[in-house]
Amino acid sequence: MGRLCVCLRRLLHSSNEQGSILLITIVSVAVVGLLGLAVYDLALIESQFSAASVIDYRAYEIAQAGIERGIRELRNLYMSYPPGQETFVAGSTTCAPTPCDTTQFHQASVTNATVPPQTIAAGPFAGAVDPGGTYTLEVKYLTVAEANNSIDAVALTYPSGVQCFPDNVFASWCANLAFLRSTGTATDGSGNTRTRTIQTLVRASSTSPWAGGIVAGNGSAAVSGQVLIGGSVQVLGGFAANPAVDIGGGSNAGMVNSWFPLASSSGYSQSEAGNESLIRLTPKQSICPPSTNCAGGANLVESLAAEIKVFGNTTNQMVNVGGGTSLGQSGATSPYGSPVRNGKGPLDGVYIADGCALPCMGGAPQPFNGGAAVIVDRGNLTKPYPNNPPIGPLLAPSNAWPVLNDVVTMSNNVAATDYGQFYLGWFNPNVSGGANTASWSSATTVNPANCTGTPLQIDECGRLLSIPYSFGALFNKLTTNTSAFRHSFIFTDRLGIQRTAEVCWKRDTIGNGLPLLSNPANKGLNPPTLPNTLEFGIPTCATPSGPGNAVAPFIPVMFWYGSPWGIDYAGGPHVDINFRGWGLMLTNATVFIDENFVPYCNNPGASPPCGPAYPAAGWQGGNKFPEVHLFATMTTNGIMLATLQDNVRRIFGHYWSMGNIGVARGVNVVGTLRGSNVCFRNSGGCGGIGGSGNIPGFFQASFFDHRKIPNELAAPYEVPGQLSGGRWQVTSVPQFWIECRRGPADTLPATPSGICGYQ
Amino acid sequence: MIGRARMTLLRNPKGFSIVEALLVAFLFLIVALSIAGMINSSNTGFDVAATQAFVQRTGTAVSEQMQRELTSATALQVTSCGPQGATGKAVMYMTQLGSTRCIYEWTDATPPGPQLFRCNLAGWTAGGSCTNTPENLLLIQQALNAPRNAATQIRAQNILFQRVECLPNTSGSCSDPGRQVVSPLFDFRFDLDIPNITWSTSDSFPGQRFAASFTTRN
Repeated sequence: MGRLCVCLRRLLHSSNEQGSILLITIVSVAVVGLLGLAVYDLALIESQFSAASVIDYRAYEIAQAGIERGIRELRNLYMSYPPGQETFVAGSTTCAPTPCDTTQFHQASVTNATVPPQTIAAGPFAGAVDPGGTYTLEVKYLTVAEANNSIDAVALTYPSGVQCFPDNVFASWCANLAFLRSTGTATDGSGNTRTRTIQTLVRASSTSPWAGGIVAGNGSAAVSGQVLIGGSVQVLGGFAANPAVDIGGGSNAGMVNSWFPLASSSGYSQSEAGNESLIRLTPKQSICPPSTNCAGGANLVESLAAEIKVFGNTTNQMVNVGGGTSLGQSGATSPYGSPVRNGKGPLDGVYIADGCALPCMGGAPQPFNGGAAVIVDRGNLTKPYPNNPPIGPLLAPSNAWPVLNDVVTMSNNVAATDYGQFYLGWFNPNVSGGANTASWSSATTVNPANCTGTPLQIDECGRLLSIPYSFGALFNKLTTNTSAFRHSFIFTDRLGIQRTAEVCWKRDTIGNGLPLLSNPANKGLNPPTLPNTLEFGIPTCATPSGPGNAVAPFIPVMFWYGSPWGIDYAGGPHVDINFRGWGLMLTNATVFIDENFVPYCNNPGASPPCGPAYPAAGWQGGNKFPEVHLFATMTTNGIMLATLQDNVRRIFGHYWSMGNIGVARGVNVVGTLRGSNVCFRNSGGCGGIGGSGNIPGFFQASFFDHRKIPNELAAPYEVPGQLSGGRWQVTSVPQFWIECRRGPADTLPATPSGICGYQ
Repeated sequence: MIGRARMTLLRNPKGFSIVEALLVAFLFLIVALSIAGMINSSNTGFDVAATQAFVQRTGTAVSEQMQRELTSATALQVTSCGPQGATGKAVMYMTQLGSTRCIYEWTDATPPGPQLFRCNLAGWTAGGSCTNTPENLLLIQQALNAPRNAATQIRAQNILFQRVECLPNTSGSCSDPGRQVVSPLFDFRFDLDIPNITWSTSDSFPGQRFAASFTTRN
């Protein structure tokens, strides 16, 4: 024991032993400690990286939330205005403190722009805290010129030009377009703050089938035959379709994205020597197409925004294109029309089922048949149908799927005008105003209340020996041989107001006879100067219905006719039957039209032909379709256009059918077509369509400003009593959604340029 | 004083026995080896941790970069493009202004193995060739503090781009109502590894797997 103590004492207190173990140990511990610190520091750095990455992503998601909020706010703003006046740009409080304008982004006035923190309640990250964050929104309006052709207007480069509706107040601004920018900021518990910014272009677009081209339902094929389609084709879909669209006919068939084939110089079989159809249409805004340099206003084109949209089967072939037939054209067209413009060549887009894998052609499940010629912007055939379920009147009241007729109502409807379904009593409640209501049948007789004089003089307004003609005799079918008439009646408009209206036929021939037989006053004021004119007026035909009507602007004359109705050829050369004013007919019968049926234009030699056009001329200017003269029919049955007679050249109108629509024999149909199936020349569908004559053409022609589509024309997803409602879809415009490339020290540019540019 | 002590030590008849010397040497050796092992282990651990962190950062950066580019793309397509002809090894996308690009797996002539490349294409056509010198997405993250030569040895493997046609894609039929996608969508998976960096025989760093789904807002 004593020896051990001595040894320890020596070890501890020895001054003459040069021990290095301790030193080595200390050094080693220091090295290991340093390594430990380094690892710890690495862990800290990694933790900070991780936290920064997480908070960076949170900022991004918050910015996205801001975009969605901004779109919703813009939608609410747009919908807050009465139908026909919807706009983004009239809201003086949209931006604060500086009102929004077209020159630069201004901060939007939104409250509750904070995403609150919350603790994750369950799951593998239960207990973790989401710190939330805030977003700020900025809005910039666009001028029409900027939207159409950004390069020339503001020296900015956008992916493509976009058409828009001029605002009612700020005529040079777009009412339905606005740039939206959202900056999301998030800070975590460690003080890491990140900011990210997303920018997009928001557009309000109409969901109404009356704003499109051809809208078909379910069928195999839903759209078929030999036809040249100028405009869009949308098939709402059925999974049995195989294919959904089947178009052929060679070089005079297919699809185009302009009205060029109607021009006398086009070389198409659909061309018209005097541009008779083209001059009646309101020219579109010329835009800069994608991937095109439009500096100085060069290369601008008129576009119908033609698209193919098929919501349908993912395993069958959806579109069959015949040999020598092209969907879309490469390059712009030659100049045409007045004002002279070029037409866009490629289609704007193709959206089929769930998209496709390149090359998107070949056997099923590729959507296009092998060798199909499809020319679309940037060659992109791969996109899926953008809505699920599809947009458009589709769901039945039972919500069965897919059914083709949605619960549709009208905007501005009021109590006692319940239009739950247009095809089940949609119009009946509207015509209970008295004896001369707007509910007609073949037995209904003409009411010449606006004609005066002797019985014989009154007879020229639709009677024979004081016995009024029945509508069965007049409407089945109306020809140039049909006697003139003036029929006065009452209908209840969408506002619940009973309107006195009149439908007239060949009013120009009334009052021209011998004095004893004819009273010149019965012609009325403002008679048509064209023969064979069918007129719709409120309260009389002297004041055509429509936007220019002083008593009831933007109210179409409406009537129900529960018997077969048609317009027929009377022998000899085909002639134009004109319609003047706004008229909407609802029926449960098959509609046949076998004679030229065109909007009234008594000044084809004017400059521009048929007079000035909207928007420069306002709504009252000119004789344009459909802005000034509109004929629309909705039937629970079918519609047959030029299926019985050859050489019908043109039929204008908006046609909605619960049944099928057939078009044959070389006619040009201008307007919109919506049917369960839409069949053209030589189609085996719709009971078979004949094959004589040239290949028919269909040319989409809706309102220049979709806000002006009469709300009586059924549109989807409306809620009774709600203004506008589902008629509008407010979404980000494809190609315009970007994230600004901002660094930590960057400030956002005032316009969509620089780090927020599209270059 | 010191000189006297030295003299005393030299004159100390006891000295170190050979046994004591061997014992001291043995103990010293054990301690030294232990410390060396500890230092080496720590150093290896640091390197492995740094490598793993580098891999994590690289994978995250690649995913985030792809997310930024693909979210704003106007078209997406899982198809062969660039030099890559195999199924599921490449994705093609179109920018807002219409440029077409391809991200693909490719093994260059030089080691370390398959990596992720990006290049421009002439047009929106499957199988199109690159029109510029491809960029290695793994190497352009050089600022990420790679340990030693890890940046040049990192590789991506088990890469898979898989188109999603409907949701959910594991049951039912794509033709069922409501299951179709409304925007191009694909799943992406890849493993990052640095196989040629072996810090010790016990290093069995397995790499890391990354997975994400991409769609476009355009």
